[in-house]
Amino acid sequence: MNLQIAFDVMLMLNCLILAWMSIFSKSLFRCIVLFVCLGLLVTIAWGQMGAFDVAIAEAAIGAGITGALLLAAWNRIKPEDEDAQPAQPASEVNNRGAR
Amino acid sequence: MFNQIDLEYNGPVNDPKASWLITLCSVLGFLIVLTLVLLNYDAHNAGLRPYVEGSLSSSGVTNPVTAVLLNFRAYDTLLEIAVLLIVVIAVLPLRNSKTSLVRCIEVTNHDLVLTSLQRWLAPAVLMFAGYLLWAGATQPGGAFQAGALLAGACVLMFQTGVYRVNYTSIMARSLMACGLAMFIAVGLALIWFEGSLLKYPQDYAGVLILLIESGATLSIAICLASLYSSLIDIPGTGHAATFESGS
Repeated sequence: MNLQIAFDVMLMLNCLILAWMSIFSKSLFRCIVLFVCLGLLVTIAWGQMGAFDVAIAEAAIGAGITGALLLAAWNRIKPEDEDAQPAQPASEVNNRGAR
Repeated sequence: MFNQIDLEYNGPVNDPKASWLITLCSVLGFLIVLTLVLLNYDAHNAGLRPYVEGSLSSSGVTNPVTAVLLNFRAYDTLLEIAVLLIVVIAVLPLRNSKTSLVRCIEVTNHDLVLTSLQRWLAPAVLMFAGYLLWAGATQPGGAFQAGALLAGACVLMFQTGVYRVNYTSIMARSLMACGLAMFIAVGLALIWFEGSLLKYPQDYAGVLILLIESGATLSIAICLASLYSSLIDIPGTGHAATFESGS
């Protein structure tokens, strides 16, 4: 029982910390990755509460589809001079030039 | 504070201290309100739980969530699917409807890891989505989860840029609308036979719910996939940018 409560408290604190980090991180990319991690933690939280329907939906939508949507949006709006990113494939560069 | 998020505004933050203070106060206030609500809320004596459990046997399914979503509150779910369809119509790319639903395009540089991941993972995800749809009657699962999983499989298949989906083709449009169409058709048929919208007869309730859920799964999957594609498609060029998941 005590172990359960300790796990819940740790889960809660981790959710709060990840939520804070996913908003206030320096790089937008890091924000997105942390947001996906937050979705996975929230999935565990829903599972702890016994709401497995919501947990499955959160894992599939909150962590999966939303993460993909955010990454795709980031891929389109990221600054051109961001040198920290690896080189883009040729088709991508052509497309962005034509945009 | 938000200069990373607001991409139009490049100047300095107007008043960093004030924005920090506002955020801190609102978060703390929200936390206090939530804690008070949680402390004063008695989860075991309130709510509609006894009513749902009492009439579960007449709903055609044994999972209470599915019973509420597709039997007791089916009208809400009907409108939710309509909302999703409207959103997708709003972001639908303007393109010709002549080409077929899926086209294969020869790509010269094959990514071996991505291709094998697709070959191993996509059929398993497809299988699991079907299982979730089927299991929704008795266990946690259902149309929305299965549809989201299918959309995840679609996103995985889009990664190499080999497959292009034309969302304005007749096939895609009918797939998008089939969930709502199935729902409305069942509702109208039930008006004809039972005299009330979405009031299932007890013997056929399970079958009708599964029918509606199957249509809804397909349209939810293609709707979410089209939302993703509308982001990775570059307007004007007519073809998708290959998206590196690792970058």
